[in-house]
Amino acid sequence: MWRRYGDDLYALLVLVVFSFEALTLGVLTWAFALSAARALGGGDLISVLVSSVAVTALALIMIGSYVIAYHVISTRRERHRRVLLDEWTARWVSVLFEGRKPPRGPLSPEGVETLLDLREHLTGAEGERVERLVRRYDIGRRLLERTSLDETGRGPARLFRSLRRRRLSGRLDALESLAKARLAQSVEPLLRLLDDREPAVRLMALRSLARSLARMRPGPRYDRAILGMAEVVMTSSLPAGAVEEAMLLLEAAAPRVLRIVLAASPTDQRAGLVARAIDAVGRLKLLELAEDVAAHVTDPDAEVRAASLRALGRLGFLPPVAVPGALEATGDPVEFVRVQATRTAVLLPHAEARTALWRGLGDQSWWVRRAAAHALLGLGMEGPDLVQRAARTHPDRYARQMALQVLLDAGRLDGNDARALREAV
Amino acid sequence: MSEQPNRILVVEDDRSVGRVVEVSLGLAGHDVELATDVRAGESALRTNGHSLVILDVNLPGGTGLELLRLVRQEMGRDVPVIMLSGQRQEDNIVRALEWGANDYVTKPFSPRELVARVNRWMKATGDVAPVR
Repeated sequence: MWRRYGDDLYALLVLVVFSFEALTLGVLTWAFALSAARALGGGDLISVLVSSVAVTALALIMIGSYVIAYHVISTRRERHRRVLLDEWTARWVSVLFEGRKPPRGPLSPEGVETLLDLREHLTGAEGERVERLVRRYDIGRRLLERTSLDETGRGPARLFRSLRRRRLSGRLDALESLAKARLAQSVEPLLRLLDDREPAVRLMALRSLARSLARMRPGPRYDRAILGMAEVVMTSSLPAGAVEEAMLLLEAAAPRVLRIVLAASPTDQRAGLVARAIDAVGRLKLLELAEDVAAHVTDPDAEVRAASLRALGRLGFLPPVAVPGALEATGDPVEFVRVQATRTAVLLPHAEARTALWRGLGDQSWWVRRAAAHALLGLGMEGPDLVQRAARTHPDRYARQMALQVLLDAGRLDGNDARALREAV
Repeated sequence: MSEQPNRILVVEDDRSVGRVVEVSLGLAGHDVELATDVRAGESALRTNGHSLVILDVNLPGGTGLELLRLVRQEMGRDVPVIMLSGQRQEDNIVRALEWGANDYVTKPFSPRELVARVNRWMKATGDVAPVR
């Protein structure tokens, strides 16, 4: 997922090479300046020039060699790692199925990774045995230790703190393993890691937290974790897409977290995250939150309005309280809101849906017309007839054309019908 | 094409799952052939006869559904096919069953339950594994 080694050496090499190059260019500039002022002979100038070219060539060779060596070595290391993973998998499988004695701890990273992989995939008697092994080796505590960054030390230690990235890959590996482990004990430390100065750590901690919450058992600890997660979702500085992904990873814990987010005051939340939370409701098909989503159909923010309509469309349910707002949204001044409202209009009471979609076919936006024609086609048994009628009799020329096109795309017309209808249109 | 009774093809890209299925079915007396991608799975299906096929859905180079279609439509075989997948969405399960899968097991899974399902299908088709 990320480069696991070689960052520091590469950074050092590039620093050395660029320093030499800068020095060389400085000398070269100085030599040309002296030559221009006739203070340096032609022979000396050529010597300086040749030396500069040689230094540049050497620098390119050094960087090129490093890149080639890096790829050769990392390929071998990856191959070796895969062999170790296979060996560990075989070892665990023989422990689980053939009664072999478990290896002595502490486990190597490959041992932990393969055990957590098995935990992710197995249930039943073998799943319980894996669970016991995870507890026996105290994997959660060891992984949490690896996620923390050692900030202690003075003098030279502080100097070396700039090399923190050397440990970053190790921390990310540990966080990835914690995401697989889904341990209740890791939830609170993960919440603290959400304030880490490294964005990558914050992102991985959020994913791990969401996955751990998804498997946590109800109780006071769970309630605290739900509140913590909801706060993160509302205020996180991470990209909105990353936060939405974490919401999707919440699985069974998602309804509680999302209900808190949707009920919170907009002033307590980062703009854009409410829309993502609403999108998550739709993607997870959380029908029990339809009313909470419906409350946002008339939100002042266009993104939120569109997300609400999109989510209700995905849920396939429009709560009665949302009907006036959804109907009004079909005439929204913002195009992408109208598109979503038109798609969701099929969920309106039949008469209102038919009227709104007929009107939407004549909208100035091509996208709205397209959405209206598709929605009209899917409007129950009479949908295809309505689109046929729209293709012949809609007062708007572009609406007639769109209806015809949608009928063709849906295979509702053969060539002759299409030709006849096109001529009529 | 050579028919080998009780030979089960498992197409699964996750090494740990593949190993678990291989060992648990092996201990139940079945002969298991493991393929880790669509290409290897297709090659195994075309060259060897199998009494039962276990397919993951997400595979390198394609999907298990493509292999299912190959078995049912192109090869016209009625060998039992069990899908073993992490995809739990109703749509995916329904689609796999409509395309001809005999059973659908979701991950995380119980190896003992999988073996029981395999034995049931083998019994239904008359390929009963010898008890070890």
